[in-house]
Amino acid sequence: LNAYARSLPTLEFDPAPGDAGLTRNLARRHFEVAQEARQVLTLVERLDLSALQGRAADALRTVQGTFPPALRNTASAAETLQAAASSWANQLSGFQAEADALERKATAATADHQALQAQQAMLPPGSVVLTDDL
Amino acid sequence: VADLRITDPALTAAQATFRTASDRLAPVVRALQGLDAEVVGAGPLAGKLQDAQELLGAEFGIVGQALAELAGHASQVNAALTQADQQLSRAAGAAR
Repeated sequence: LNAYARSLPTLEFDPAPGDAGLTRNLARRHFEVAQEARQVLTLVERLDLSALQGRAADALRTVQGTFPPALRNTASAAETLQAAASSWANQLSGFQAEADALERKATAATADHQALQAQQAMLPPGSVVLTDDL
Repeated sequence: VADLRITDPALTAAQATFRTASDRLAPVVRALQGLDAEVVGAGPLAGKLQDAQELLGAEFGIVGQALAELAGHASQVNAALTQADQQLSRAAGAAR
């Protein structure tokens, strides 16, 4: 059972568990992660080692060159997570609204059913009851 | 002889940059580890999201570690240059 399932007593289960607000917040956190990766990328790219000479300098520049692609990939992955979480938050809101509407309909139908059962109980013995009404 | 300084500002900047970059990624790794993917509700989606976050956190960790190591190497290069500079200065001083 999902920890974020809501209580829908008539349906007896939550067809759309989750927290849309917290999911949006999750998407924001992914965005912040992506932003930080992009800023670190800028920091590393801005570093100019061209003035350095020698084998150690060559090695430093070679290793420095491996970071931008790695940071771009991680930033891109975080942006993908952000987009997915953000999109899902919107869909989840819609599904939950639909589930809430179904819960209200089910509650109303249950109340109607109980009212009809109560009416039937008050009818004189031998009365004809249209079972479809129940 | 006093002009025979080979301390390189670029190397010092490299050390600082790689160290800063590494330090900035450390909280990102912790942040990703602390995110609760269960909030999305749907089990399969939460599982995949959790896996992706863990993978991303691990990648940030690897990049951060590599940046820290490169800062260390830059520091070693800087120290070697400084040592060479001092030796040259001493030799030049003795020759005067």
